[in-house]
Amino acid sequence: MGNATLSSLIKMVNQIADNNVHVGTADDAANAVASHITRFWARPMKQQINEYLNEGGEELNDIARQAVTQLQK
Amino acid sequence: MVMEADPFMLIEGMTIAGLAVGATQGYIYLRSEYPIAHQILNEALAKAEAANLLGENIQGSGKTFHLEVRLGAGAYICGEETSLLESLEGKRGLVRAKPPLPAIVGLFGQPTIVNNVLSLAAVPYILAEGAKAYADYGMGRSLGTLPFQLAGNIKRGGLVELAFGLTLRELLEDFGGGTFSGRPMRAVQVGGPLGAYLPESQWDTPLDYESFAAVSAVLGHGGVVAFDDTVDMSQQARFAMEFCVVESCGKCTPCRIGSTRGVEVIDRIVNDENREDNLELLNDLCDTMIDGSLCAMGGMTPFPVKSVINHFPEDLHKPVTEDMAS
Amino acid sequence: MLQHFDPNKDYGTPARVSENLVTLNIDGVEVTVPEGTSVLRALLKRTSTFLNCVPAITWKHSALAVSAQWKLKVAAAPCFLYHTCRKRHVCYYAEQQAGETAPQHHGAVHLRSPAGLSDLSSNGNCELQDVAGAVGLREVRYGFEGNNHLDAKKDESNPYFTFDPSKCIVCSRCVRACEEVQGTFALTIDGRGFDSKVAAGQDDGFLASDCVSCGACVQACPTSTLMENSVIERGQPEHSVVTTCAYCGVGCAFKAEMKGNEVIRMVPFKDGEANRGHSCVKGRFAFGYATHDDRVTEPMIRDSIDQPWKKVSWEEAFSFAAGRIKDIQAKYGRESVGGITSSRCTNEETYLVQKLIRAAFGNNNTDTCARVCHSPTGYGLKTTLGESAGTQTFDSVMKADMVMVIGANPTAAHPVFGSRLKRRVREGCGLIIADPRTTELVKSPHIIADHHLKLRPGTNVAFINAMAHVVITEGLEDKEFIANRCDNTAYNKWREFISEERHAPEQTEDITGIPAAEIRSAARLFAAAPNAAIFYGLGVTEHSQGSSMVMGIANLALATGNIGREGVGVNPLRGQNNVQGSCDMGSFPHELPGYQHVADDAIRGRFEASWGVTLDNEPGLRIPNMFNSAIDGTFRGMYCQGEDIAQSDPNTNHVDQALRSLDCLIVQDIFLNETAKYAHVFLPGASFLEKDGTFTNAERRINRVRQVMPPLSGMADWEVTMALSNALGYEMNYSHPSEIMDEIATLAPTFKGVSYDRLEELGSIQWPCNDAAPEGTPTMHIENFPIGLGNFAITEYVATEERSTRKFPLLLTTGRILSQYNVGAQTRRTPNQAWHDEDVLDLHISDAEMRGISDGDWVGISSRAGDTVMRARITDKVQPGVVYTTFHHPGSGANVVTTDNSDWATNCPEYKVTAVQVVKVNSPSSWQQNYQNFDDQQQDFLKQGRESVSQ
Repeated sequence: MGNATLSSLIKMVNQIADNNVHVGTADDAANAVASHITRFWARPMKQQINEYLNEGGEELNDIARQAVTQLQK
Repeated sequence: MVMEADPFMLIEGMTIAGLAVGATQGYIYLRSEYPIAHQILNEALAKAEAANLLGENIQGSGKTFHLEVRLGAGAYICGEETSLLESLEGKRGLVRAKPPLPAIVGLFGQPTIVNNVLSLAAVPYILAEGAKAYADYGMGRSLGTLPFQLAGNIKRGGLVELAFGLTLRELLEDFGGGTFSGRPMRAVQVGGPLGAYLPESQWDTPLDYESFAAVSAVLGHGGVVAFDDTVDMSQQARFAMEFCVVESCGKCTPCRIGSTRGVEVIDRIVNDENREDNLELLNDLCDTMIDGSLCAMGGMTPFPVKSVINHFPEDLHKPVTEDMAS
Repeated sequence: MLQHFDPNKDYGTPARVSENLVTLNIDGVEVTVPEGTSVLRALLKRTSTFLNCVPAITWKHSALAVSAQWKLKVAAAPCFLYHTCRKRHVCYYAEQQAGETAPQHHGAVHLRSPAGLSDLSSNGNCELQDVAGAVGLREVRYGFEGNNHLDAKKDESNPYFTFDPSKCIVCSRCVRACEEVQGTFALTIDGRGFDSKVAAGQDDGFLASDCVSCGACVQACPTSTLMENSVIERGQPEHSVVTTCAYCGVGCAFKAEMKGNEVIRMVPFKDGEANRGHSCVKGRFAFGYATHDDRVTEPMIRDSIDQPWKKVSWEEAFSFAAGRIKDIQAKYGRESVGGITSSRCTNEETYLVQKLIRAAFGNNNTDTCARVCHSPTGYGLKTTLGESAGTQTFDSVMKADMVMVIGANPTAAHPVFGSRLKRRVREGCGLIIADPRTTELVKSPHIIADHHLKLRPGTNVAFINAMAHVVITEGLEDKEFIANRCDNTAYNKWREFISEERHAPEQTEDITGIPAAEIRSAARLFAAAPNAAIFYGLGVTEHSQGSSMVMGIANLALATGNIGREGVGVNPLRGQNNVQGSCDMGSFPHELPGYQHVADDAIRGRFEASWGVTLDNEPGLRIPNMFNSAIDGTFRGMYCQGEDIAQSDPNTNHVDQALRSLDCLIVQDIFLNETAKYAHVFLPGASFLEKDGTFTNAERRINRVRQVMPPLSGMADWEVTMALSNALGYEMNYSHPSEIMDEIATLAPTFKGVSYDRLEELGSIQWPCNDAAPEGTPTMHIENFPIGLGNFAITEYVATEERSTRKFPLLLTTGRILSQYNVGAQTRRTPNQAWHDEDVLDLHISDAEMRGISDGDWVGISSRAGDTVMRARITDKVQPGVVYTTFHHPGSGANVVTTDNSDWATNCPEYKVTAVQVVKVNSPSSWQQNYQNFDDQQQDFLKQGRESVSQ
């Protein structure tokens, strides 16, 4: 899979996390991020971020990481 | 000479009027041609303020009224109330359409009463002496007094304050003393540059508003200008139109264009070019200006002109001589 | 004189409704009207020669407040005054007796006819001529030797109309139109008395003055003094069609006045509920692009973008396109293609494009230009209020006591609304402007904003939080509204958040650059006003926290109880003529028409049943995602209708790379635009004059667009989409756009009551239009929100990544001007070029001096995305540290510099904040040189295509 998409996805999910960090606890924030991704991200995008997490996902911030993990369930 | 000789009468009258209508601000709009009045009024106002007869909490009453003088800049039209308000607002003296009346939407959009010095200066007397005492002066519906201004070709010119009711002839002869030149008086213009010229047959008219209106003349502010028999009334008619050309604000067509055409038409009449057609045209033009003008500038300019047509027609039918044809 | 019935007769003043009737005696005839009717209207009902007379000239133009410019006293009749008849005994009547009144009218008309009464160019469009005819005037008794202005010189400086003072009657209608309707105050009467004349500016001609060429004066002029050049050159129009403008989101209604199939002029339709008889320079005059030589009217194809175009028949174009798309899907999967719908095309056309993508392509990869402008509005208002649209009508501003304009420049981008707002402000309404630049609303003739909150680009959320903090901590909130209409759990949570000290103006001063005292004062003014309205634009949405800012605005409106009636509201100024409609029609990848989520099985089921096909149940790709996927090789085909992404999207180099990667780009447009240079299939589109359908403006108002001339290409845009769909194997079979609207009405609940018949009946309809609101909904959220109670959202300020650094110390923000429209595809092909033929960079004198830059110098602007070159303009309208430009000319490369930073929730690009450096240069940038080469090459390919023989 290509880099252009992946780097933008990482940036996007981190940014969504940064903008939801204040909704409550870390769990609340992760829920908000996960729900946002479910609502708005296309299938290939979800697949790609999942794969990235599985390969390590170093650049994801904490909330983002927690959210993507949740998505996999 | 109210402003120069008794400014406090005006100040008091305006204060009473202002408080009566709930105004806290008043202005005296003064012609720039009266510098002495300006100086005296300002001194009087300063004194009144110092004595707490003007300003905040006048004499502990809790009421406020401020008064100041503002100068015009020479435009005749600014004597018309809406142009006056425009000028006070810092704009050009252009006539406003009515409605709305100034009492509803006036200066800076606020309800405003606008009156002459004469009216406001009479207020203290009326309140002090009572309405009946004031009404006892004058006749009919013209109550009180008016300081008539005798001018022109008159032996004894000046201001004569009289109750309404005297005849014009009495004013001209008993007070004015007849013409200065000694020649027979021929025409008298009453009411300022927009007033009609009265021929001798009308000089027994009593000096009051209604009687003058009944003979298609204007009493106005009581200005009286006398002419002897050397006057060329065609030139007086022309002057009326010319005055309108100079002083017209330009907003409405009958005054703006009518006045210019008026001068041209009168010139043609005097020059005996299609004289009869042009006389008819002049009459029609006068009617258009009277009926269609936005204010009295165009609306009353025909009054002197029509009085010449009606009472001094011979001056519009003179044969053309060498020196006239120009 | 014969009076014929004129269905469009202008009665000067509105009709009144009352149970009490008053009877007037006019010219011996009894006329009965409802109490409260103006005398003017009653008289105009009794048409007679008197009533055609001169007073009517000065009163008739109903957009101006009626004023008694003339008091006409008719001989032997009571004085006639303009006055409303309230009581039966106030019966002004005019007696027309032959010979008595006639001379008055003659006299008046005589004085007004400076020139001869026959004037060839006006040819029946001169009210003065009409009146002269009505009173039987034959010749001018004063002759022509007297003083006159017949030799006054014409002013032909404005490209669209001529001012001929020799015909002027100095009625002042033009001056009043410019003051009262437009609010520009460019015209005045110069001189006094006989020398009075109409002057533009300091008598320096129309073009050099402040005139914005709105044409209100031309429309108001009763003679042929101010006259459209098109009428002078081509004569009077013969018939007219009422349609809707295709420029901005105001959606002005126009009468397209025609001679045969040719548009002579566009006259604002005074019954247009959005514009009420007014317009701007673009809608009124800049319609010539529709018949410009650059119009491509025949389909073309080519195998690769390095080849010339080949003209082909429609059938071949469709089969070529469909074939390529199918090949791509076979090789790369169903999701490897997608499309972009247009926000300039009609609702019906846009509906079909997204239907084609979902049903024929079989995926949800559909998006629209709202992505780059108001998608945060969609997200933010849906979250807080429950509906992604503005809450009011434009008329509602006339009931506001306080208006706050945030990140919008309506006098340039929504001019007719800007004029309306100015009118309200002149009436006494307060005004707060939040904008990094000093826009016209801050200070212009008779307008001074109470506060100009000059914030730094990128700090919006900190600013709105500070405002809300003041309202809550000073106890200025509307407790009753909050208790009754809002979700109190959400409110309390938000209240706790916003009360924190870090949101206080004193704490945010360093971030925003706005002095604390100013914020406190502005917030107090806003909260104290009985009716306070917020208007906002792309200065709110085109940021990395665009959605958060929209929610912050809604929070403030909810907290101060400013929702649910006239004079208040949250008003996004939608940019394009049909961007609202495009969103409504389901152009977003996650929402079906009517903002219904694709994942909802029940909703999707209804669409599947109606469309006869299975639909993908997950959201599709947004435009920025499409570009990234294209570069990665997983997205290879696109159908793009009426959208110029190559010019309007940010980070041009990135877009270029993406478009070059596509195997099949199908562009449907009226010109070969920047995007089409990368295309393989060009389907000629139709301009608004050729369309039959509906547009939806920023007020949610659905307006009819009526065909004025047949499509130059022979096919309407909706027919093209239909044919392409059929070629792809998904059958579409409509015979008229009304059928498409009927289908939409069955599927989108907010459109249930909309139909073409209903539109004819009502004129226009504001959605929601359904059983609950059969005539539409002017004001929303009066009783309830669609989500029940208003929701407060927590809006933490997160600083944008885009910060000024040592390498890029300035912040670039972008915007629009009045005379050009967006990418300029339309306006650059009209005489509007006279006002703005290149984009320039505005910079503050201190920034310029530091860099040795003078006014007019060529400067290089560089960012981490790219660089370009423009001319500099030194101005104090930007603050130190901020530079500004427009993007109307493709060669300016404004978007080469903008980055792919975007809103966290919607990916709306952060056009308004880019860190840049500016230096003096003496040659174009390398991008511009490449662009020039590419443009030359593609123009040559186009030329070869047009000359090729159709196969």
